Amino acid sequence: MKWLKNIVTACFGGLAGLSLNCKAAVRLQSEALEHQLSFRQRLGLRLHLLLCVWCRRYGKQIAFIHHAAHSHPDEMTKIVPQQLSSEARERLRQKIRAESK
Amino acid sequence: MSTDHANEPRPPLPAEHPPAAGQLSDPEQWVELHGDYLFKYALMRLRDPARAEDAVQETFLAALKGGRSFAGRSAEKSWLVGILKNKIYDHYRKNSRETSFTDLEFYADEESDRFVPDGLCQDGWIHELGPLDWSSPGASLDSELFWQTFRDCSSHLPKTVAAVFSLREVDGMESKEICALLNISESNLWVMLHRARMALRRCLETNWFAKPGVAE
Repeated sequence: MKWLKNIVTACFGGLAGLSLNCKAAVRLQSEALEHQLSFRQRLGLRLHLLLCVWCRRYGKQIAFIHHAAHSHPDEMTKIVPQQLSSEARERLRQKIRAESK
Repeated sequence: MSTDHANEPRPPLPAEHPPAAGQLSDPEQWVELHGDYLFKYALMRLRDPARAEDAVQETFLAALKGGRSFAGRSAEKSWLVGILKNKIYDHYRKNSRETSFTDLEFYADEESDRFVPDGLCQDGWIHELGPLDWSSPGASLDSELFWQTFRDCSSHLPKTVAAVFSLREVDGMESKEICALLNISESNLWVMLHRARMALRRCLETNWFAKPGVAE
């Protein structure tokens, strides 16, 4: 069966030269949110996405996260109501008092 | 006045001087008037109560030195927030120089358990573990529980990565600005954002989109 593997590898080798593995494809999709990719990168990514449903999903999902966070800053930064402890208050008051003398 | 400053347009570094002439409230009152708000603001971004308290203290002390004339209480508050932002950036900067052990683990991992380790399909998704189909994710945006999950997920990011993510995705700062602020290279920033997105995506999938009965 070794000959079969060789043929398969040879056929897809040409494509693989331009195409990417999934690890590279997910990295590039994130980078595409930051800057314009090179022509070669874009072509490779396009080709990969044609064939790979997982990376297509991945790209959509990080874009969703990107836009969700960006359009809902209030939701993102909401925290459980938290107040200064009374000790912390006292420390701050004393500092201010000491400094304003 | 609005209690939210996250939406303010962001000049690279807000000015540290009072904007208008008027009456500044008694500094002795600042802790009561603004302490909790500033603390929350800092805690949200630094995620460490001790550092947050430090930042608030530095803010008050800088404000004391900064000037004593003012328009009114709301102006006073935004002035203090402006100072606090700079103090928080100082902490980010300090932090970005000390990469902690957990950060290194975070970088080494790169979801390697989800990619084929060797052979013809090396570095392809292991099919059963590849990203799932998130049906109509937009519907989740109205759910308070979804955002709770989102916040929980981002709280698991290493501090530096969380800081970068929040500056870029939440505050919408440009890549170049963030690099200048934290003194890191752009490619370094891209790697951090990539890892943050990867980790968040996975966490959201596990704890929200793939959780039975949650995301419908």
